Amino acid sequence: MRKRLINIFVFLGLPCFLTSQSIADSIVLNEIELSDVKELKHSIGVRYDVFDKTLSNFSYSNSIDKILEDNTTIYVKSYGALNTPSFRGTSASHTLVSWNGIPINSSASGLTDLKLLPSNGFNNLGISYGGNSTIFGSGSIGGTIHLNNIPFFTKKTNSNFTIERGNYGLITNSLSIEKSNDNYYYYLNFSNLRDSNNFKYNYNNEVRENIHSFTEGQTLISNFSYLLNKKSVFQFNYWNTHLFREVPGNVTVPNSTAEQTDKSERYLFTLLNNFKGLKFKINHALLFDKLYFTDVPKQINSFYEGITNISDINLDYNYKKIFTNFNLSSLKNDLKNSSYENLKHTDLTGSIYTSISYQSKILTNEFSIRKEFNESINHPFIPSYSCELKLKSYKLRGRINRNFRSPTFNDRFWISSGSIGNMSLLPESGINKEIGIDFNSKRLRYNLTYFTLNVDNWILWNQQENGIWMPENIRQVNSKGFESKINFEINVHSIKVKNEFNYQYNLSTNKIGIDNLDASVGKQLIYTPINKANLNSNFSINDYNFIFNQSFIGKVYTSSDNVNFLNSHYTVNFSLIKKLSILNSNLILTINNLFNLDYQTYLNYPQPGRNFIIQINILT
Amino acid sequence: MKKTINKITSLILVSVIISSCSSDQPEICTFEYSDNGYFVTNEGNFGSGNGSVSFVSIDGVVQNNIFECVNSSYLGDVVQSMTIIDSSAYIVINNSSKIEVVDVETMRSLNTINTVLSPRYITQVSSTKAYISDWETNSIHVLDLNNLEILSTINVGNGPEQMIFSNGYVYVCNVGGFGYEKTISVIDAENDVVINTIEVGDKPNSIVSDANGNIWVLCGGYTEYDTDWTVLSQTAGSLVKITGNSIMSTFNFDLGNSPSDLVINDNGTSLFYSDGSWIKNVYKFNVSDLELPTTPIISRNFYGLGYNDGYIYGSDAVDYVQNGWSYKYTESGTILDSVQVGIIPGGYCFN
Repeated sequence: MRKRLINIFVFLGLPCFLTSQSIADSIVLNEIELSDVKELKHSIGVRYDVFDKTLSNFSYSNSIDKILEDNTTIYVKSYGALNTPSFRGTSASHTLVSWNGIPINSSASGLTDLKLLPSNGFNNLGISYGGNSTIFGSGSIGGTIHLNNIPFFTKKTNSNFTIERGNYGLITNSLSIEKSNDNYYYYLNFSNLRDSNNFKYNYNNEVRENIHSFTEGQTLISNFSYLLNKKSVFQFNYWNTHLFREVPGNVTVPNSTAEQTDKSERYLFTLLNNFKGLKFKINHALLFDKLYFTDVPKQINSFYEGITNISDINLDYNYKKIFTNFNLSSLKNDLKNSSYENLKHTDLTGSIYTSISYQSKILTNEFSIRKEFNESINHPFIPSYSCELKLKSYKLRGRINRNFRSPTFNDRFWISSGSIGNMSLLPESGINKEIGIDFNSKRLRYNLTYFTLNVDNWILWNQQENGIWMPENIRQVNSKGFESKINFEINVHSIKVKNEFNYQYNLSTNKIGIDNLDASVGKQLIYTPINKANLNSNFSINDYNFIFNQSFIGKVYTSSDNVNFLNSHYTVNFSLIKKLSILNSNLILTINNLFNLDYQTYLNYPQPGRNFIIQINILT
Repeated sequence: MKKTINKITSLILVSVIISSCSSDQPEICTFEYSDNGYFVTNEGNFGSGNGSVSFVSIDGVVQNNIFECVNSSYLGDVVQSMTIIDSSAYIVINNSSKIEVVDVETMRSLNTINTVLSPRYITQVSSTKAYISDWETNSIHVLDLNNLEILSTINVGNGPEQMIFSNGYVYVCNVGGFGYEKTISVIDAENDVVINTIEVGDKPNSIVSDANGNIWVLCGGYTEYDTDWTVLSQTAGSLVKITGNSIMSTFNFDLGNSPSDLVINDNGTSLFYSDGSWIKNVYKFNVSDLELPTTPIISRNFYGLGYNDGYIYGSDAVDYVQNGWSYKYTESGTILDSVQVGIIPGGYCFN
């Protein structure tokens, strides 16, 4: 059963939402649990969504920003060469991206550009809503995006070749091979992309072209896992991305000449051992991140080159209904940046966290705590308490925890004419509280969540009275809201209609003004919609699937006094999937922005109008 | 079965139609010019293209976004300055690399100059010529006011900023752009050639000419830090008086201060500027004074400063992502009025 709809399911000792349809396409863990997925272990009490591997995920152009836009209530703003998320009313640097448990946000900016995250190279994509700094550390305040490669040892060989052609010069090709037997597993994915992205848009009643927006790049993602014996496994993960982009200006900057190249290489070595109730994992990650930004006529030639080393020792012990987890890790960042006074900076952070949970059939409680140690930043204790109560088809859940974000290298070490870093910044921190209810039946599943979160000492670059820009712990932000997700199925004769509806209502306001003129106090933060909803409907009729994806994004403010804003917009995407009789292949036709609406997610950066993508994938 | 499909499809279509109708109507507005009012240029956020121009009448009635209203299009990214030449206003938009030429009284766009990449200021030098300073090429472009074409380009120092036309010569502040510079280029406006380069204090940022034909240059000073943010080297800001091609006198500010925004009263007898290290105040200096004043006339930090017709104007950008304010003071520093203008009000333009 193929489907595009995402399903939420929680596994590994947690109550299962697994429907029979989901299993076929999703990842089944080996019975001896030769995987150790942190976010699964520690998702007690919160909303955690896993995205199904579906046909559309095989395309390289379907990067994480597209998935978030179409299938979640997370707001994605795209401008220039940057696509960033806003979870639960927080900003882009409050979202952590985790690759097989390793945080990969830039140590320079604290951000991750979603365009650099392909969805097709990972067999497990998940989203944790709300902060979970106790487990994931700095930056997990609004939410966490998880990109995982989970091995399985089931004597299977899969391969998949996908080609994609679209308007405005979009070309992508992607090949993946997956092979496993009793004692090894390997996965390899290579994708490349070329996109002129020169779509047309309306401006001042004239049709203009989105110029200087060419993109070209490739990604290689692989996983090799070897069973040393029945109880232990060695894993090697590798991820290489190289993306060149012309950086377009906004509509009022027609002659942008900026170019950006991102290069990253990531290595992860993992050794996992199981002895009865004891699970021992040791891993080491080595991350190379490079960004080059050049603007020849403007004589800008800036770069950063970062090397991150993360070592992690993790111990799980389980006795009857008691589960404990203990983790020690060290994170070392070496960063060279043309805009830093000293060019090169090194930072070492040690952290320790531990958790204990009691998990019965009805009641689950978890308590965890983290402490980080850094020479120049004083981190608070980060505790977390979660509980779940299961009653037949219902689950009631809740969590209260503290979260934090360390000042980034840019915040601390930046220097250029007119701006300067601040060495005495405090980490941002705040309390996250949420309660929710999940219901699960064969045809209907829903979850409802109410949350509040606050961020104190929110770091903002502010112009000082002498004209110099400097980051300061200025803002205090309160965010609260309501999320719902409903999956329901309607079957009429041979037509199956699967629906997923997402809705979020979110008030995220600034509490402190910089002076008595500041009209931003009590106002909604910029680029955080109060309302966002989407409905995905998948009609399957014999060999055909018709998918309607409808998204509504409410008004977003572009000025902190809420005077200026972007209008709400409603977009519809449509896909037709036809299973072909030759080979084991599928033809997918997608029409994005079916009604050719002019809209923007960031002020003065137009989005493409109606465009067509044709995709063929061959599976073996 | 067909019915069910129809139902579902019509449901989808209905929701599509409902939502498509809900888009907001563009606001309709008119611009009403009045004599003795003044313009405020609002830079807008870098990269967002939301720069704008506000007009404040003599009675203090403010009209914001006047260019956008009249022309139904955004003005652009980082509105740097505005200068009125004859009946046209030249609005210089730095990051959008353009100068919008509009009719002063209607704000209707007459033309757009797209040939300068990083324009900062424009100054009229004759009935047919104006100079445009450009950070991109570190030069002054000579604009033909009749056809708005660039006649020639004059190389000057790094980051040419404000200019002043006096006695047939144009004095250009070479502020250094994002780097460093400490010179004034003197251009013969008849022949469009640099005839002299005068070394003044570090980072000259603003320039005026007084009633006696002297040129006054305000230099911000320059501070270099080492890795621990301790100051490696520092030069004081200065106020420099130039007569012809020579420096007549130099007044040094306190070390660590960064004075900016030099303006002059209509008689050409008193200078006003902002000065301070972290918190700036507005000071008044008479052109005949022998030392810098120590007591401010306005104890307030302004993002931009202006002077016209006996009044001092100062702007406040608040948090830089909301509408800012413009204040009006008497020459002795008594506040008269305040109006809310656009995002990051940085400059004033008086007719």
